[in-house]
Amino acid sequence: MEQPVIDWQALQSSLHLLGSSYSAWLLTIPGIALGMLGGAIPGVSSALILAIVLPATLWMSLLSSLIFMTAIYTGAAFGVAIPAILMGVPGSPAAVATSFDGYPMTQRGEHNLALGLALAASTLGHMGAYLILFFGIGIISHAVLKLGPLEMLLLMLWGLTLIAALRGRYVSRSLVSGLIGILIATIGLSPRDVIRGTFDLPELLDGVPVVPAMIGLFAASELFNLAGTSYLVSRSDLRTVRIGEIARGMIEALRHPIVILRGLVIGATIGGLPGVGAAVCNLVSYAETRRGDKHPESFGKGNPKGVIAAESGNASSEAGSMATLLALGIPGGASSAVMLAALSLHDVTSGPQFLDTSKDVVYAIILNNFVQGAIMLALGLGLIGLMANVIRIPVRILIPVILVLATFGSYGLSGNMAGPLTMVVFGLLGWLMQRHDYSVPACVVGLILGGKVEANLLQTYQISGGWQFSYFAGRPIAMVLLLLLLFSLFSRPIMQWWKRQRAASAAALQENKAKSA
Amino acid sequence: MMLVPKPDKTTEQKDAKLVTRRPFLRMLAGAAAMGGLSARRAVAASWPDRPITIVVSTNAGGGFDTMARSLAPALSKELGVPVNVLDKPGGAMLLGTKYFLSLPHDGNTLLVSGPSPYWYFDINKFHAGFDLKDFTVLNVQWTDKTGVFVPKGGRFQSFRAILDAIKAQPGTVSCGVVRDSGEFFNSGILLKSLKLPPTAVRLVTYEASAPLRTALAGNQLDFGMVSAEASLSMLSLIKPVAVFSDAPMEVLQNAPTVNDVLKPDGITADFVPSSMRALVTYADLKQRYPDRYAKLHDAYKKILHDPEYIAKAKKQAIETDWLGEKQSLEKIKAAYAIFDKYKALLSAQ
Repeated sequence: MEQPVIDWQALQSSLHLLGSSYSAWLLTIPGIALGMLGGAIPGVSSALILAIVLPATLWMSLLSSLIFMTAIYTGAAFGVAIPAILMGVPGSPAAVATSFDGYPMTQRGEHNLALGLALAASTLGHMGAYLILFFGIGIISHAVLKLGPLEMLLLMLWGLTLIAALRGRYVSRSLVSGLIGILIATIGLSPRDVIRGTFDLPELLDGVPVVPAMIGLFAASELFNLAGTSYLVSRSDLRTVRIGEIARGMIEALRHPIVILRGLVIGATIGGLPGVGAAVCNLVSYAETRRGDKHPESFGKGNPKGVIAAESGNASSEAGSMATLLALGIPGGASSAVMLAALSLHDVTSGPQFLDTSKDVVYAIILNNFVQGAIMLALGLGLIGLMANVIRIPVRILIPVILVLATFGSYGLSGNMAGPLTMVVFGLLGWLMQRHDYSVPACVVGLILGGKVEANLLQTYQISGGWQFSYFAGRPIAMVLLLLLLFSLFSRPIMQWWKRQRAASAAALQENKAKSA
Repeated sequence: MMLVPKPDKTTEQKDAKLVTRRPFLRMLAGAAAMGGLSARRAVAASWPDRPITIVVSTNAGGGFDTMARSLAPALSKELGVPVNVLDKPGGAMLLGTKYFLSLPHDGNTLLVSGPSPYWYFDINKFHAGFDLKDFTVLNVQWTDKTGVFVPKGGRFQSFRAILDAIKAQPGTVSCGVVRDSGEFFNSGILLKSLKLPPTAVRLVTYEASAPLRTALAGNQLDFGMVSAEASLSMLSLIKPVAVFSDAPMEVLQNAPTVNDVLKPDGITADFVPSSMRALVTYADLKQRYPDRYAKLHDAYKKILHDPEYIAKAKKQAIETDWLGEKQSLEKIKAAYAIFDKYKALLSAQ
């Protein structure tokens, strides 16, 4: 049954819906602003903000409430990048990769540029992914279903290889940090229901709360780094906020369309899968861009492409999760689960039939999100102009303020002292690791991906009847992914080895020639 | 004339004679205390006097949360105060349930949770430190059944075909279940009834039902066992082939019951409900505040008999059973008896 790519009638009625519903438009700007501000506070996630506003959506129309919620989602996706770039403390796992290159740029005094890059990459990733959604929401949502645990495992392994890339002075210590992260991620109920390492604390049954742990690790290690300095940016002449520089960053982002495209394809396709979300998208997008680059060693030291890749990856995952939410009724993560609740509060049965019966609403949401992109650009410019001033705050004041905000944020996440306590414990760990040259980002990557990799590894083992070859043979997408992964891992060393061999044989040849002459 | 005059009366009389400042103040204080007391009494009569909170021991967005949010406005209307919903997820409902128990047992907080199977696992596996006796389950409002689903266009299109394949070629058919769920138990009981080892199916464990349904919809699994009611929205992608229930369900396209399909094998399998969603209060509320208990009970009962609420809940696919306290407890205990019988499955995971 061939369906037209665009249902013109539904599109027309969606325009009518949007044109007649001024409340939906009125809610867009505060939604984005709320998301952006919330996201900029370390520890406050879009899911938390959405859960807070959920009861209020009861008094809105279905369209208004969905638009309000996607606006918050959109704003938060960029908001989390701000502390990641300015202070090296990502507000959520979705911005971890953003901090890898964004923060070194700030330290060099290129904070304006980095924020501009992030804003443009976020906006383009957001709009681009919604454009893909506009033309192919049905196709995307069904393509996503073709990814089984094996494919997911390979994608996440891709992200996990970042551990080796995020090295400090010693490769072995980075691998150990990554392993520490993975081991911490195994605390709690295993995917096969074995209780591991909880010391009989029921709070640990679901594992270590990732966000407070991550903030603790990053914040404490930065505290240690900054102990001897008085300002984030050491050169006082660079300690300024320049809109011109921010704009230059935005234009710079446009020079890397391939990086953005890669991020938005990754975000729009795998972002919607349950348990994947923005955190995985931004790591995979970053890892992929780094590996495809001619100078992978320049990443992690302030390469603008790193910021673009990370931000386009996480911003576009919103569209991915909206695709599976609206077309299949499957929530990809905590944020879309709250939106699902909003649908249910409006007596809407979500699921595949929602796309058929309410295509006009779906189109209206997509169209509104194009506009959201533009609004985010304007609001974001104002907000980063304001927020970038943190570089003028002396570190001795800034660090305690961040820690207090993060403590509140982590309390908000867990609703009890478990969050702040986790932050303190991991702060100590981060401080120790930083002091002894163990890579903190590698540990965080292990922490974020470890549990997901294990769950998918186990499911692959189970579904294949204990690694029976016939299962793998029947999965062409996985085979392609595996080949790509192997290629990206080993192509460079093999090429280098090959070049060395050729050089050696050429040298030998020349030597022989010289001898015979 | 009284033989034993009341001491405070005499003091009062004395005080009345010597109106010094201190006794006057004492009188004022006394009056204030009396006033306060009566005010408090008045408050007790007008309970509830502040917002009531429904703690939900899961994340926002799931069936438990949806049920609580559907009840909140209705309860608010009945009780005359705002009713808030607070999600406290974590640890197979253990954290939210423990949080609820840690609050004052005064009726200002209610709990929406899953007595079966979650509390059973909490009590028997996770050493929760609470027991069924700590709660009064006002009513099990929503009992999910386990459905057996196959992907549309999947390898098998009937439960009989699945059973035959499992028996003919053990270890080749994959089955998805959520870990620590009613379904997990039902799959184990089923294999046991068929006298097959646990390895006869490729059991694939998921941490939640949404990813499991996604895997089914994408034809990643041969079949899956998952809460029937929560899967209704996916029926265009997955097909129900059987249900663990005493009778076929209309909403599940009248798919046969598991025991109907098993009849030719001469087997009847035990099964537990997928999950029970219940509104719960403290066990000691009835003694401490009988009036509050009665108010809550009556308001809730009234809501579940209100056609307007029932119609609204039906739209959201929320069930509205009224079993009452006694029958609810019996139902939970019946499920626990089956869990006890197959307790070995708990540690076999």
